[in-house]
Amino acid sequence: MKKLLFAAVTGYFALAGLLVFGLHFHYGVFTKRLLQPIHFPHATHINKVGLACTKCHITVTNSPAASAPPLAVCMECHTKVKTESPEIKILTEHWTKQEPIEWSKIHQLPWHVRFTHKRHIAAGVDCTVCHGEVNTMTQVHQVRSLEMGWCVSCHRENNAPTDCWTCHK
Amino acid sequence: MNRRDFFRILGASTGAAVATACDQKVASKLVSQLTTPRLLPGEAEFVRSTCRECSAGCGVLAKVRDGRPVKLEGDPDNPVNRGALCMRGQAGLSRLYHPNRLRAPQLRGTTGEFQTISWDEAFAILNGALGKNITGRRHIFLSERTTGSVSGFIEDFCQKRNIERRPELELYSHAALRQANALVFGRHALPVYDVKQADLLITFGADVIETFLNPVQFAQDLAATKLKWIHLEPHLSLTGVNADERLVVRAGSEAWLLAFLAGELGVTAAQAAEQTGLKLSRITELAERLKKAKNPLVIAGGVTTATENGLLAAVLSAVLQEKHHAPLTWADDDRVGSLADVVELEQQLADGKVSVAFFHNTDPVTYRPSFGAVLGKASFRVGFGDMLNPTLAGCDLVLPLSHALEEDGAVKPFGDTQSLAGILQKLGAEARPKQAPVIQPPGDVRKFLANIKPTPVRAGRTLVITPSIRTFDGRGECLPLLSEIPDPLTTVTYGPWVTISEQDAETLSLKDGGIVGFAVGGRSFNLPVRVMPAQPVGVFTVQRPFLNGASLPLTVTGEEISVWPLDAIAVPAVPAVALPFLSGGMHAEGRGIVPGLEHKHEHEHKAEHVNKTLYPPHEYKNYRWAMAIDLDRCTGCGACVAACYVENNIPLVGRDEHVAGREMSWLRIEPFVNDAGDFEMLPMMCQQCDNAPCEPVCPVNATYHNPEGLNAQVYNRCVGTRYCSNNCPYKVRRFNWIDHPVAQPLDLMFNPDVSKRPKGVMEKCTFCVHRIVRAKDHAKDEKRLVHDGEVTTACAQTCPAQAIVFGNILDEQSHVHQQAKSDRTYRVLEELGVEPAVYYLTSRSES
Repeated sequence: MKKLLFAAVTGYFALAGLLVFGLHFHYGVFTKRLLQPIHFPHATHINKVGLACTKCHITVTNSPAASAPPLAVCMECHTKVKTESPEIKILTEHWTKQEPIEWSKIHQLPWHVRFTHKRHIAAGVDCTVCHGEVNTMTQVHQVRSLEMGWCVSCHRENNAPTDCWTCHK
Repeated sequence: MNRRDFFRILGASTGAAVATACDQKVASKLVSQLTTPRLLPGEAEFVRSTCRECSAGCGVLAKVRDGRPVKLEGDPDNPVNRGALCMRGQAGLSRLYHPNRLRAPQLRGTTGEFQTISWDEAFAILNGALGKNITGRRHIFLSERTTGSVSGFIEDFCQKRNIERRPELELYSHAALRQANALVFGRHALPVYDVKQADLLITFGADVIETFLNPVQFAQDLAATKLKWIHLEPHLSLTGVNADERLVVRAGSEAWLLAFLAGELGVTAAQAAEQTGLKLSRITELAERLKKAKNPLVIAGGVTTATENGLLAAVLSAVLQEKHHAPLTWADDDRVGSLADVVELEQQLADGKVSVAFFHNTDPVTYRPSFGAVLGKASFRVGFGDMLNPTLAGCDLVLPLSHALEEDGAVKPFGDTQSLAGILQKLGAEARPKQAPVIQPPGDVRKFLANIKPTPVRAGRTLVITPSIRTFDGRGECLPLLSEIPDPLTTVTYGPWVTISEQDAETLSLKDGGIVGFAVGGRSFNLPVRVMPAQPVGVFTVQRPFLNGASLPLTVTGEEISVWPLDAIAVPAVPAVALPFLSGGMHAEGRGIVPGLEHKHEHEHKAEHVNKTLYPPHEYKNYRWAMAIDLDRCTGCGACVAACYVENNIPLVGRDEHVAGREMSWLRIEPFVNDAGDFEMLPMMCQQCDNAPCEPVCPVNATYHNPEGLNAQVYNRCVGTRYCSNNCPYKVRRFNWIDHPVAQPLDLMFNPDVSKRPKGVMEKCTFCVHRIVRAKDHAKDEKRLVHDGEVTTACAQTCPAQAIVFGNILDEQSHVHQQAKSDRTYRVLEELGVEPAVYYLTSRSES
């Protein structure tokens, strides 16, 4: 009887533990690939064409958000380049219909965080520090946890402010 | 507990824990706009507009984030309010997001219910109604006070479509002042008084810093000048307690004193003393000071001009203004009529003489319920407004008006609304140039004064009816924020109530919340009382919006009589209600929270009593944020409280939570009264102490001292022990006992720079840290420190009296540093040694 009870309790906790880990991997993994309305290859644009990040992410140096490029920026080239590709056709359709594109947001910070790209760029932090080697990715995915501990370790190493209210709003 | 129960509980709790952990990660979207947006992400733009929460018409700038206005601030370029904004103005933004806003045209169907129709249908119905044969009847257009182009459109529409434009309706029309000004100056309008040029100001009943004409401008000018200000009133008002001297007179007796001061009607000092109840020496002294002053200004208004003697008081004050050459300019509101015009319209309706009746943003039914009874006699009723009110609810066709902010392209509109000008344009009206004001020759003042005698004042209990500083004539009743913020003097939040004196409370055996019964304007009321020190004995004060449903009789000038004999007051045998008021006690019990004369010695010798400490002082590198509040300027109007609520997404918790003592305001105004009956209003918020008692008791380090001297609160880290609140001597920390959901779409008003706090965490004033961060970010771009004046808190920004100064106290040139060094400076509960960073400057009269 005692053995049975021991087995039942151990089994119960093992099952609960498995469930929690399972849920963590199901919901909590940040490297998950998200579906995008257009298959946009960052690798091609950066490595092959040689565009800098700031060519398209125009507000990253002077505002809190990097923001998705306006379609007008895409159309600077794509009125002539690769117009027959099926993915570019989707883009052209959005442009002719004058409909904004809604991308799935990959790098998400919680609502209570006050983050500004501008200050990080001004301090000389390279985009890859947080976003990884985007130039090698055909589909962008998150490579850093973007959790508080990760942020703070970098802030400590670089003598950046570690006052809570720097980032917590 | 047996084994089975143990497993049951274990199973249930694990299941619950797993279930709650299963919330899906919501994938948010990142939008590629078509072209480069005008603004950088996170940047605000400011849109100009006009406040219409009272008839002053202050200019506002709406702070727009991502197409949604999140806050109103006073427009610094507007001459009416010069950057400041009162409580009502601050709350006015919630009108845009109000859940009850009309979103589409409504037509009353055959069943009597409103049905949504299209604008095209609405215009067709309107044109049809206006095109009908109306023998013996007239179309009428009744509107609130309008100015500028809207007024021009209404004028053109009325002329083209053969509609009678009725005098505009404002409950507080100040008709006595208008008639007096027509008689004395030839202008049937309201003046803009220039207080700055006067050296002596005597106000009779005019609540100049609450609702009278341009209260924000009055507060600004009175704070900026050093004139002597004497206020006479029958009751206790916020204006009265802010005057240099407050004299209590019998209600309705002011005309006697004015006649004596003006040397008219043969009224002697003794007669004036007998009628007003003032001492004879007081009256002769007043006359003496008036005579000696170089530029005296005498203003009568408010409860003084809304009595039987009101017109005479208004004429006499105008006579005194003319005699002393008071510089007057005139407001553009010649078209405003009085309630007498509404009575006339009521008669026309009753006689069946009205065809199509238009009501624009106005509510005669609330002011006169009998109007509602005859409203149905018009052949067709059309209402324009943003929300249904009793008048609009009685209309056949209700057309939703857009908010003034939506008419500018920067704000995304809600629902299918249109501006009044736009609607009238589609009905054929065109813009009209501004009409020149009517200037007539002045009337015969001598003849008027020869034929009038002031009515003697009767003794006994009196009911005094005043406008509300929070909801004005009642138009703010629909804005929940204005009920959440306490009435400044009584600190009652959710009304209604009647203010009574301590002596009357004793005579009637009443305590706060006890019920009194009385009848006025054909209706009886049972209202709870609030007992106030310094309230004159025998005077019962009630705010006009609490008497909705009564038809108050009118004066000869067509204003509601505001002073009523109250001999038949009853104390019905009903249980007292829990009246929500936030002041724990108005007597400081000698603690010197606002130092009086008895603390003078202590104040002057405080340098000898420095608290010793074992700890090293805090070292600050570039910034130590601090605040200075000049109590001599502060009027206690509560504009800062409202600004704080809107800026910091502070939840509105409602009446029950207030009764339980769980208000959430980060900033409050504490009224204190001394034995002489003098009030001092003290704004109280987190003092951002150097040796903050809240910090060491937090077990999880959720509150800590930040490198710039702020007591920071990290909501995510807070576990809700509430030790910090217990240890705070100023009681400025607020705990979220429950979640406070916000009705859609009011959530769009949230300031995206400030967190929404979940239940179970502590929160408090942050010195608007998000504004500081923004200013520092801007300064860092230019490789410099933040300049003085570059960053200010929401409370300091809106303050009409500019009593609050915010800045970096390490900067010796800064305004806050200068203020902190003043010899009037003290800090609240300084003797505790917590080294607060909020410096108060005592009133000149008391230190």
